[in-house]
Amino acid sequence: MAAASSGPDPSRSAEALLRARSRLLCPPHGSRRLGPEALRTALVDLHELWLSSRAADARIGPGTAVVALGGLARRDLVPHSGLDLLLVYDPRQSGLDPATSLRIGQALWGPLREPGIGGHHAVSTVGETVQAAISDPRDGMGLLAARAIAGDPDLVTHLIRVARNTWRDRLRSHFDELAAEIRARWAGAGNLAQRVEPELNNSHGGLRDIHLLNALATAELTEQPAAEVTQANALILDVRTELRRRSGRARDTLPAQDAEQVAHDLGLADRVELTRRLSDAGAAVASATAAALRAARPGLPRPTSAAAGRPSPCRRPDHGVIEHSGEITLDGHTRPGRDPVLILRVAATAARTRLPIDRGTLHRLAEQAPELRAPWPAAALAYLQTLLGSGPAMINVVQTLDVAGLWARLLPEWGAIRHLAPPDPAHVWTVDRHQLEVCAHAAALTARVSRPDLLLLGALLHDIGRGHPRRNPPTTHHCHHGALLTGQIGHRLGLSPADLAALTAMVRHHQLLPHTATNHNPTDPATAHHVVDTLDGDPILLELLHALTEADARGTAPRTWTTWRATLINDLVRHCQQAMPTAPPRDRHPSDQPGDGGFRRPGHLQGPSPLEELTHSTGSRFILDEAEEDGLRDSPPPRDGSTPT
Amino acid sequence: MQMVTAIVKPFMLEDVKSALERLGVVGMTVSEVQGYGRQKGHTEVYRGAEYSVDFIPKVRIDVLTGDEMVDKVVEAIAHAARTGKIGDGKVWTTPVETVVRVRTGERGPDAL
Repeated sequence: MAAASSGPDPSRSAEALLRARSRLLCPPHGSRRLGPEALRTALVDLHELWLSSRAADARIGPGTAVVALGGLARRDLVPHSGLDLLLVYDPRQSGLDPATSLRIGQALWGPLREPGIGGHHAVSTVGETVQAAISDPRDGMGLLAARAIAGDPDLVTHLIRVARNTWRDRLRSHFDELAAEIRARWAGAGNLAQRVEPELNNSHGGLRDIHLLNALATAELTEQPAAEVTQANALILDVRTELRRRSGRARDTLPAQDAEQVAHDLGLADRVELTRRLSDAGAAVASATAAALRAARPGLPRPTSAAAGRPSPCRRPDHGVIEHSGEITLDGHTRPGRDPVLILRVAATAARTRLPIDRGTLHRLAEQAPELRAPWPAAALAYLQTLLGSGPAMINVVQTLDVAGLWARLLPEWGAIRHLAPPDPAHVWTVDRHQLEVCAHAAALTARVSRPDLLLLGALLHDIGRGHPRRNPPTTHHCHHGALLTGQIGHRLGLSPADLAALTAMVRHHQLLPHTATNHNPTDPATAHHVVDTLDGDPILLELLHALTEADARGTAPRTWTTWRATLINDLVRHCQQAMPTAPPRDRHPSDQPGDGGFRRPGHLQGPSPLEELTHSTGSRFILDEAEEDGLRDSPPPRDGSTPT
Repeated sequence: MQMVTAIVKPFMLEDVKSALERLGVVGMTVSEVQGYGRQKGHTEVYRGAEYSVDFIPKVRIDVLTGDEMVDKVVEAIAHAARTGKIGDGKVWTTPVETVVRVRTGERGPDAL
């Protein structure tokens, strides 16, 4: 029978624990500094030893056990973590009553509270513990990784077995609740792969997603996580360990200012390499988590009813593409190897229907889909426009394609900006995610412009030049290099010369309006004339840049597009519109000509691609060839109002 | 110690920043603000329609400085931000009792 004991001085014992922790984190001069994994192992050993000795002092016997949960149970305790502990007992076997068991619990972890070693501590019977797991699936999930520290190991084995079966059985009724909690967690912490300052624990692709994957596998609802998830777990834990060791506190968000040092501690070249590795890890975990959640639902125990076993209805949202069990997949007759547009058709359908793409479909496309030859057929461009015009739903689709290696087949230039940390601290996203965010915001502004198709492409490509190595920063500004790349991409996409010129001009001048509005007097006629001259008097280009500027700001960080900024930009645009030549050049934007309706909507559903009609347009300027020398044209006007040269 | 606060036109910020750097001022806080003074906003006419613009975008600059530098800082800002047209802004000072540098805990003029 267990009984509370006076034992050694508890406060001294807690102090000894704190001193030992401090020595591990800050070894005395001349001692070896432990690497992140060795440090975690040492912390686990230290706390286990401390708890075991206290349990021995408390004379915990049969029918009672000290159970570790959380990081201690998983053996991945990071610095400054709290200890989640449970004293579990069987009243009949142990002979303990609630009051005595509480006293034992207090004797065990009471000393931990004074020095500020946090965590959750509880005392309960096996029945009470299982009941808590039934009512809250998060508690149940935590129990799946429980581990005996001291006491009766058979009791803990029994507890874990009951908890696992109960959690699995009850998950069917709690699954939507659990999924909603996970989505809320993702919404709050963001996406690890694409945040400049990623949250390592709660984000989509973070450590709690890995715990979820392990829990689903333990409950035999999914396969064991793949090797890439295990590797991602090790990397994220290493970053979290070094971040906490360096900051000296329980911090889980990696600030940009600490990333360089953490990269150094991990033996990486710089924060750019750390960001890329962390983003790759986060993307792998996020993809596996999304797939596991979809896979777990069908694997859940189902009630026996007339509806059970009935196949779910199929819909055919596009040629060769079907919607089945809430996913986009291929129909049985589709031959991916013979259909180069299929990747974009699947992507556009997924974005339009807001449904995920089936994993098997992604694998088939990755293995069999042929390359799209340049110039792309009009249908491919139309599906790309549909995808880009789908708003926020497009972001997940592109990320899914990117993880499967399909997006880089369409846009090889994407590789240079994938998971790239932006140079500007105002950005919250990596460069690739920023482009997608801007595209999603631009989709909401398409009704304001005459050429929504160009707006969407411009949004997708406006920062594509960021991946260019900055060997000569003053002359190879990312806008210039982006314009060069956009010329290549637009040619591959099959754009007409006129559209290609407009698109490269958008990328080339996408910072013209915000830069001019904040650095030059918008009421000075010279300012407006400078902008108009730079844009060659093209009102449609001004209109596109106006919308792109807003989308760019909105896609940079929340609250970047403020009333302050909007007022400045809108004032400048109004003055520029007044300074524009009265008649727009007729050869640049044939969609404005009579008979075309003057308006282009993205998407194949609105008829044949209007871009196809433009391939014969002539007389347009071709900015790509002028990109380098064009740098002079962005030079600001003199502030005294004299006409710029 | 004094806090020098200036409200200036946004496009004059770079000139003010350069002027302060020439004086040896090593730090400042810049905020995007909106408001109006004697000009009471203005109206814009575009394509026959009149738009009322009540709050004009401005930039607010806060500079913490020692008493011996305050007049030079005020003069530098006022000179750099001047265009001679309505809406150029204002500069004012307020006394500051205590300053603490968060990173080191230094206080007073040492924290400037």
